[in-house]
Amino acid sequence: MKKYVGQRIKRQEDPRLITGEGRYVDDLEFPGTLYLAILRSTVPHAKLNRVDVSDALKINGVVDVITGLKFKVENRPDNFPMASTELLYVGQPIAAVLSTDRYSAYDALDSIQVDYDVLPSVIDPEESLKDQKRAIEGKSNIAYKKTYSSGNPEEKISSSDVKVEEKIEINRVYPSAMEPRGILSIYQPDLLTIYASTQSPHYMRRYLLDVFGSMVKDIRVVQADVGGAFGSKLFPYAEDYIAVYSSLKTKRPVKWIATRSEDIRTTYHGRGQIHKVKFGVNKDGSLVGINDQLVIDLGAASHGTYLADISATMLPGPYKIKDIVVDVYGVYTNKTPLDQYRGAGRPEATFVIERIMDIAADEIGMDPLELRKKNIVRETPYINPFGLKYDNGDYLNLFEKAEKAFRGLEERESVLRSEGRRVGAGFSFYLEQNNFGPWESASVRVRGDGKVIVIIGASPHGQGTATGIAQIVADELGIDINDVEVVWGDTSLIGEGYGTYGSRSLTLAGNAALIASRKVKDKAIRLAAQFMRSDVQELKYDDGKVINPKSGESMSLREIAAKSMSTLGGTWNYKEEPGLEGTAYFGLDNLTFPYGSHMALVEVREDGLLNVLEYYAIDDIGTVVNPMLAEGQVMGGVLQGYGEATSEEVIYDKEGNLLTGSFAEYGILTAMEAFNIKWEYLEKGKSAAPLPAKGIGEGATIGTPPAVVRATEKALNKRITRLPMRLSSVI
Amino acid sequence: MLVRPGEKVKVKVKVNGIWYEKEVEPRKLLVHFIREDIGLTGTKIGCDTSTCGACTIIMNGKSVKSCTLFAFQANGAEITTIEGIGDSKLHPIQEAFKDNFALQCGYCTPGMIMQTYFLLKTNPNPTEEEIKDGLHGNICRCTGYQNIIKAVKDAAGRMR
Repeated sequence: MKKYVGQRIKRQEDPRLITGEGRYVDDLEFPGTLYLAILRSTVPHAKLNRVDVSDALKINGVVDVITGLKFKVENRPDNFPMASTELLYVGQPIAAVLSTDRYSAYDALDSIQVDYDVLPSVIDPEESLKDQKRAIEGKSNIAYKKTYSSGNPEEKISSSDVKVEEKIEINRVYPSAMEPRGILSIYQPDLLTIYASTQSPHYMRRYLLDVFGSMVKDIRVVQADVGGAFGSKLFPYAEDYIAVYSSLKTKRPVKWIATRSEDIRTTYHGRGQIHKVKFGVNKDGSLVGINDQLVIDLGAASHGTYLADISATMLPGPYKIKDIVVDVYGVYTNKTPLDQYRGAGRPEATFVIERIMDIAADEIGMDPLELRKKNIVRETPYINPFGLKYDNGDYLNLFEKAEKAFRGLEERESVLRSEGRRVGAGFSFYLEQNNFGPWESASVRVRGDGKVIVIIGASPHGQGTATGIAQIVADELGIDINDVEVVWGDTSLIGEGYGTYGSRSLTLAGNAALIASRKVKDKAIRLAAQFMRSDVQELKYDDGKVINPKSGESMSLREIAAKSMSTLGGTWNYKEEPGLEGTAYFGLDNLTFPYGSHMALVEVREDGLLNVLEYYAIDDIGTVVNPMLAEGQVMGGVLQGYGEATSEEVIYDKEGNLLTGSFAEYGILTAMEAFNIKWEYLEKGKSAAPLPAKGIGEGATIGTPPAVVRATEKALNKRITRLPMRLSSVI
Repeated sequence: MLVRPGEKVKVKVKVNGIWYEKEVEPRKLLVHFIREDIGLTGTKIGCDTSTCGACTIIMNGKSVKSCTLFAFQANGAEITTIEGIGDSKLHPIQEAFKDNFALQCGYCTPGMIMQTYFLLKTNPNPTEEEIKDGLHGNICRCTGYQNIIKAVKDAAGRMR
C-alpha cells in the first residue's frame, strides 16, 4: 500500500539546516588544525622560473610552505596539483602555506616571490583551433577530435528547400554553489579521515587512494553538509591533493576553505561551446540534415571532453533527424579547466537543436510548434542516429498538452503587443538523458527498537533525496516514515557507492533501497516463522506485519526486531540466522530519457532588462516520489537556466585576465529577478526500474534557456544565437 | 583607539543574550569572531565582497552582513544570530521556511532567515515586491527564491 510515495512529504533534512546546526566543512574544528592558503597564478600563461618562500617561512605561525607538488593523475595537466614549470591559467596553484591560523596563512602568501616570464596566451577558442599560438607549451591546442556521423547530411542539405547557417555560442558559466569548495584532512597513523564538500565521498576515496595508497592504509571520506554543488564538486581538484599531502607531511589536521574569489577562479567552469551549424529544411517543415562543427573551450586541461560527446550525441534531441554530422574539437585555452555543470552537455545540445527548430520555422514561415511536431519522434523506444536508445514515453502527448498552455501565452502575447509592449512568448521541447551509472547501493537495517536506518551510497546535498528514499522504504515496509532514518556520505558506512550526479539518486539509490527493503521483508518472514512456529510458506508480509492468514496470528516488524533482541547472554535457539538487514546494489542497463516542455512569456523593459510575466513547465519523469521535491528542482533549475540565458557569464579579457572574479561582478541572480513558475508533471514514460522513476535534477536547466531566448527574440523581433543574450547589444 | 602592531583589542559583545569578552586581532572580521571565537557556526561565509548575505546577523536591532565589520566595531553591541532566534521551539520564520520548502542545501538559509527577521520587524506586512527588495542582498542558488518569498509571506501571517 502506497501511503507516502507520490505525496508532498516535508523534508527530514530541514530541522538542522534552519537552526544553524548544519555542519559544513568549515564548521568542523579539530585541535591543532593547520590552515592551508594557496598562492595562485595571477597571469594566464607564463614560464615559471623560481618560487622563493624563504620570507614566508619567517612569518609567525607558518609551519610549512609547499611548492612544486606534482602527481600523476588521469586526465589532469602535467603541472598538477601545482605549477612547477608553466603557469596555465589565472588561479592555478603555485605554492601552499600551512599556518596555525587563517589570517597568517594568507599574510604569508604576500611574502612568496614568484619569478616568471609571461608567454602569449590563448583565450578565444576559435583562435585556439587555428593552433598558431600554444596554450600549453609543446602541445597542440587541439586536445580532442572526434566525428559523429550518420547518413548523408551534405547531400540532404544541398537538396533541401531552404539552407541556413548560424553560429550558436554558449558561454562559460560558473556553477556558483553558495558554499565554496573546502576540505579538512585529519591525520592518524595509517588512516586519514577527510571531511569534504563533495558530491561523492566514495569516488573521492578511490581517487585519493590512487595517489596516496602507498602512504596510508585507508582514507575514510565523510561528506559534510554540502552547500550546493550542481556538478562542480564531483571530480578531483588540485586542492584535494594539496590538502591531503599537507596533512600527511605535517601529521596534523589541515583545513582548506576556498574564498569566493578563489572558488570562481578554480572551480571548474561549465558549458563553453561554439556550434557552427548548417542545416536544411523543406517547405513542409521537415528538417532534413544538420552539419555541426562543435568547438568546446576546455581551458587548461582536457577532462571536459566528454561533455562535447554528450552534446554531439544528444544533438538530435526528440526529433527524428537521420542525416547529421557533428565534428567535435576540444581545444585548450589559458582559462580555468572546464567540466560539468548542471545538465552537462544536454543544455548545450538542446539549446542548439531548439534554436534550429525556431530558426527553421522562421525561415520557411511556419509555426515553430507545427514544425517541431512534424519532426518529433512518435514511437519509443527509438534509436537515435548516434546509437542512443531513447527508452520510452509519449512525446507527442506531452507536446500537445504543452501546446494548449502555450497557445494561451500567445494570446496574451498578442494582446500585450497590441498595447505597444515588447512582449514575446517562447517554447522549448527537450529530451533529457540521465541516471548516469553504473549503479548505486543501499542498506536497510532494522534496529532492536523497530526503527529503520537506511544507508545509501548516493550523496545528496540539498535535493531532499533522503526524504524521498524514506518514503519508498516506509511504503515498502509498511511502517511510519518517522521510524525511517536515511543516512549517507561516509565511506565507512557502506561497502561501496558512487554519489549524487546526473539526476540519478532517487532512481538508483531509491531502487537499491527498495530491493534492500524487500530482502528485509523476506528475512522478517523467515524469522517470524521461527517465532510463530509456522511454515515460511504459510506467512506473508503485509502492512508492516508478518501474517499467518490461516491462524490469524501476526507479528509486526517492530515485534520481530524486539524478539530478536530480547535477551543479553544465553543462546540463539532458532533455525534462522539472526538480524534484520538487507543490502542491495542497483543499476540500469540503459540511461533514462525523461522529457518536457518549457514556456515563457517575457517583456523587454526600457532599460533592456527582462520581466518574466508567466512561466510554465511540464515534465514527464516517470513515477514522481515526492512532487514537492521534484518541483523544487524545477524551480531552482529554471532560475539557473534563466541566469544562463540573461546574465551569467564568465568573462576574460583578451589577455586572459578574469573580469568576473567575484560575486560582485558575476551575474548571479537575486530575488529581484525571480518570478513565479508553474509546474505540472506526467507519469507516462516510466523507467525499467522496479520503482519506475527517472530524474528531474537537471531538466529545468536544459529546458529554460531556449524558451527564454525564443521569447526574447520574439519580443525584439531579432534573431538571438548566443547565451547569455547580452541584450544591450541586441536592442 | 590606538592599537600598536601585534597588539590585540578587547571586544565585549552580547550574543544571543550572553556576554562574551575576548581579545582579538583588530583586523579580525566580525563573522570570523562569531564563528571561531564564540563558536557559533550557524552564520555562514559565502563570498568576500559583501554580496551574498550568508553572514547576515542582527546587531543592535539592525541586520548587518557580519563580514563587513571588524569584531572590535561590535564592541558593546547586542547581537542575535540564527542560533538565537528560536527559544525552546522554532521561530515562526523557521517554521515557515520548513513548511514552504524554502531551502535546499541550507547554506544561505541562516542569513536568509535573519534578513527576514529584520524585514518583518520593520515591515510586518510586506508585499511581494517589498519582500524581493528586502532580500535582494541575500543570494540563494538552489530554490529560485519562489518558495523563500512564499515563506516570508507565510511567516508574516504567523507573526501577526
